[in-house]
Amino acid sequence: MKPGRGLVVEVKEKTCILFTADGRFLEVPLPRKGTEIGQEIIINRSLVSRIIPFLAAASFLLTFLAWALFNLFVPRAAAYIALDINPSIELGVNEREYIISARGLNADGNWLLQKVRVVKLPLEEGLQKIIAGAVKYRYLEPGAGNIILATVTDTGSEFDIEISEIYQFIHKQVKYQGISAELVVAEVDKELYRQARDKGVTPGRYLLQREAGRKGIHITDKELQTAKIRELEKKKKIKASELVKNRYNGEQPKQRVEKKPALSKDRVKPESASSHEDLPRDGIKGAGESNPAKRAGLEEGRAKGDGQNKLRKHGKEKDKSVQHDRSAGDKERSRAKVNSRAQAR
Amino acid sequence: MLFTDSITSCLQKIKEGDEEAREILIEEAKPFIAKVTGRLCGRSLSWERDDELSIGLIAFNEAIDRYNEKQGVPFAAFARLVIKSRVTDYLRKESKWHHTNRESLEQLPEVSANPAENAVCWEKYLAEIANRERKEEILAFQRRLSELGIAFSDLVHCSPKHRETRQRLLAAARYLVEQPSLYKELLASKRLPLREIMLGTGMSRKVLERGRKYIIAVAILLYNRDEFIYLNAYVGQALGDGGR
Repeated sequence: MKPGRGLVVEVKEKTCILFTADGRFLEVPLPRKGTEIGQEIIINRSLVSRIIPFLAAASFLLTFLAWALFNLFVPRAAAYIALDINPSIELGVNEREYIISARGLNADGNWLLQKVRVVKLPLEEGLQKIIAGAVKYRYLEPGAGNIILATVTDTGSEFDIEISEIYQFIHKQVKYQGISAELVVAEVDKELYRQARDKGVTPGRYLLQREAGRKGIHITDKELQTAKIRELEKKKKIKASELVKNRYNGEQPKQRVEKKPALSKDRVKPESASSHEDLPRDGIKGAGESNPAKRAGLEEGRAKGDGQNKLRKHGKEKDKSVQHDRSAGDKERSRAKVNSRAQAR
Repeated sequence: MLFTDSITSCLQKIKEGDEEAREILIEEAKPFIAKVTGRLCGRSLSWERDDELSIGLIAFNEAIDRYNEKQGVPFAAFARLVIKSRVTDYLRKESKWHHTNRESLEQLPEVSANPAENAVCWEKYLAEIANRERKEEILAFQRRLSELGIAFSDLVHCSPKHRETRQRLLAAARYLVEQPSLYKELLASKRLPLREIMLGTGMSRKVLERGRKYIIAVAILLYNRDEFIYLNAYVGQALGDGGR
């Protein structure tokens, strides 16, 4: 019994009826060269059934291609940097440290991002603009107890953004603006970042909630989303810096295996240069000149360049600890100048 | 045996010199020979009286020897062709031509002593005849069906797509054919004796009802095997021996 053959038993206008070798009656399209009753023709499988395997393969391929193209052309953020000034903002950064996405995580964040365009800018410039914007729109106020909470999350394995670098960027700009602010920078792993994103808050805030929870202090989701960090600190009697720091103390010397140990030798820890340095007396002037001590430290590790240039990474070693600047005395000293500047404006 | 696939193996045996098989085949084919010859002569013949039958018998024997499977013609059709040709020759010789039907005017080309000489011509002729006969057969089948109110397009719609269903309907058709009374009832009433088939085969009414036209069509083919030689040979395995 060979399927696929049939005797023509009736010829119609466009089709013919076959009596097949396996005992079926089938109506098939008329063969191109025509036929007559009694002829045997080979039945072609219908077009659809013939191309189904190809369709399946093609659609699979297409899906794959689309996925590949998507990955190729839509830049994937290599790292996310989340800021809580209070406007909560999340910046996506690509491998070249350019900002490729920016979104606000609360109303203030959205509003600020509408005023300050940072996408496609180098990270340093973007951070500067955001800080400047925050100052301009009175999110950061001179004299008040400002706090900036920043978290860094690497998404890719190949790209590491130096948390000290972020610290530098923000720190410099804060000083340039003549503002004193408590600066808490932490590195956050992907898992925590994801959990925070699911909640719609910055990883920093999420971290606060979690760490406070561990201490038995409950922060509701709503509080977490809306309240300013300083308010939270007051209300719950917590210290953001301590909470975040605690977390890092917990799993501290989790330093990454250094990829280039040679580099780390002459690496200058920007932290040491920055966190204990004195606030410069001439804090009002440009960042380039504002901080000779720090700059001197940095200069060792990198090639020449002015303050607006992107800071190069000094090595692969990751400083996991929170860099935390609370040089209160320095602030006091500079405050007079800052205030006078603010009034002058 | 004559109309089923087992004819092939039987002919093979005969070719290898099995004379007993030849005897059996000829004995079995006698009604067929009588039918073909009788139709040609336009009257019923009896084995005791009529020489035509002897001629037919000899022709059938000749057909056994000359049949070549590769020509793509069922043996029964080939045998019929040889019988018709030889009997026509005989009638012509005996000047009994006026008795014969007009339909059998064509004849086999003379087979000369040199087979190679004739081979091409013969094959071409055979193919031509076979084509025409096949077509006539299909048209005859169509007429039979339309007598019972069935068109080929109906069969397209109700012929079962699944092999299992088809086998069951074929089994029903075979059952119908094996009980001559049932088949006659079908022809007389133009209705499928569903109840009897249900009882005989144990199939459900629903299945039978759905495949009603298909069963009838197949039954017609199976019942008239000597008439629908080509169609039976074409779907021989599917129809005849499929479920056995």
